[in-house]
Amino acid sequence: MPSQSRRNLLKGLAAAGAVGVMSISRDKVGEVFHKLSDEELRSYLVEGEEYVISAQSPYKTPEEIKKLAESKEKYAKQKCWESANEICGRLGEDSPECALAKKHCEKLKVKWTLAKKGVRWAMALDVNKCIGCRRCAYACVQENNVDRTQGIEWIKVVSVHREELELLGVDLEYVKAPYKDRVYIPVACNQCEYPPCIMVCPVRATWQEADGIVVVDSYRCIGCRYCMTACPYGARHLNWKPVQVDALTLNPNMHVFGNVPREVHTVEKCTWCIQRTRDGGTTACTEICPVGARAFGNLHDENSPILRIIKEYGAFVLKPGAGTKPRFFYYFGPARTPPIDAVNPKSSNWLGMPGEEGGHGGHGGEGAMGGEHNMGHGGHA
Amino acid sequence: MRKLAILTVLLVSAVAFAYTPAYPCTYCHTPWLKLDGNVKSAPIHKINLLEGAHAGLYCSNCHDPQDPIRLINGAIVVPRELASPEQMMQYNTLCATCHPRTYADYLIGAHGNTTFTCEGGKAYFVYGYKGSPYWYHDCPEYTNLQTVPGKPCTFCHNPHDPVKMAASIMPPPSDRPKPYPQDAILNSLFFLMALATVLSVVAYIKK
Repeated sequence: MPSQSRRNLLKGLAAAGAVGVMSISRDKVGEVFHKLSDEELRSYLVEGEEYVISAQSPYKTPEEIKKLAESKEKYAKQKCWESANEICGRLGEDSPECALAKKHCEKLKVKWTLAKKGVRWAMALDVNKCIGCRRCAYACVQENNVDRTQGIEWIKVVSVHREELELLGVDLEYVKAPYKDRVYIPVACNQCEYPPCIMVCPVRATWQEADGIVVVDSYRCIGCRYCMTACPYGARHLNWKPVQVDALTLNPNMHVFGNVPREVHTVEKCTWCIQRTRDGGTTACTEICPVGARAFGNLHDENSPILRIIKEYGAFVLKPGAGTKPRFFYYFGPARTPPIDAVNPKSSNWLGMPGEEGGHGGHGGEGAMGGEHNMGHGGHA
Repeated sequence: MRKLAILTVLLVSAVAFAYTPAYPCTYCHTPWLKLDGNVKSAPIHKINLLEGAHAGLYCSNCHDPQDPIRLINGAIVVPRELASPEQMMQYNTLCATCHPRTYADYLIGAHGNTTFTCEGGKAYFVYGYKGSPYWYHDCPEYTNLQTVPGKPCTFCHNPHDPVKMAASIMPPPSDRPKPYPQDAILNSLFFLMALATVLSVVAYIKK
């Protein structure tokens, strides 16, 4: 592998230069990584559209990124065909699994789509709707070719007490949900405006793209894990083993800084499905959510769902005191999914609040009947 | 006695036909069946508008009272188990008459799911990692994708009882596996410690 010796060299250099990195004061680091203005972004015209490359990116021109994508595609295809041949040898050449694995390897394409000018991605999540079912976490694993054997899941769903909203006493291992006194918060990379993880990287292996997505280049990463320590949200994960995704479950839609299988001892993280969203799609977690709690869109677009949600309901972010300015917004929406311990889930008074039965007459002429029904079911907690 | 037998056969067959899933709706709903839409329950369809969040509506608020198989926006009712997503999408404008803001949110992607389509492609619903669902998109080229609303209104909300209930939850997250067996390092450590002990003892004795 060409990048192996380079990484070994850089690992040595990073150890030697650690003292120098520590001596830079915190304020100066903030000055270096201030918000990008238009002059600092390099813009390029590719097929009539205006694209921009972030000034923080170590790859300066589209040609360099294209070259990188080609080398990554070659390596990914090689690993995919190895896996496909193994499957075909085990199950026979005419088995449907063999045909599917070969089809995935033929379709495998590592794209290098650049960021469009004037785009800033953001995500919003309705914690009133979220039922904590973890479908987003596991769909993400399948979309992003995460190694299934290492227990890496980019999204963690935490169960927090609803009234305290305190990160002490959270529960990750719950097996029954949702309860009426809990709130379920899926946490992944917040794609911060001022990401602390990129400030500590000694080799510029991770940077913020012009559309706000923080990406990692696994060819540059040396696995020093400074960024994992710096991230306040625990959003970064290290591959301890070579990534093995068999050709049957491989997602052939890949991006050079996204879900192309990472190398061993490199850090990986959520990229908001860069392989889908840069080309106009939506993320895998937004797509699979059974209650439609997530919304994804462009923050600078007038018709974006994010602006609509923030104007209507307001929003909060995780750990605002960290100063990272996350672009992942949580909000309490208008309707809540009835929890499993609701007294009468079909009615509007499913919480069983005493003294609110009288306020149920919101259904015009038939309101009295509905109210009677609720009381008949015993709406006393 | 013969009359009673015929009546019994007719009754049994009517009941049996009524609860068959693939039951043809036009068997009962004929144009000459004059129905009054001014009712709130249809026990044969197990619909009761006296309870639920749509209490307060009558059948005729959404269905054509003369011919309940038609909705008032012109769409034809297909049983939920048999309807395709395209057929269910036709009911959306009916929901929008009372919920215009929600429908506007739905169109821009702020209410409900979004998905994407590609030219000449197809999406497959697969169960993969830990038995969790995932949409696998089989596109010829993963470029020029179009983000569209993912599901019709009636996919999530039963129109006669529209509260969306919680789905079952998936297994807890995995633990990171144990680190590699480090026998070589541990053995060499023990060897070095033993060597250091012996050397220090020897040095102490020699002194």
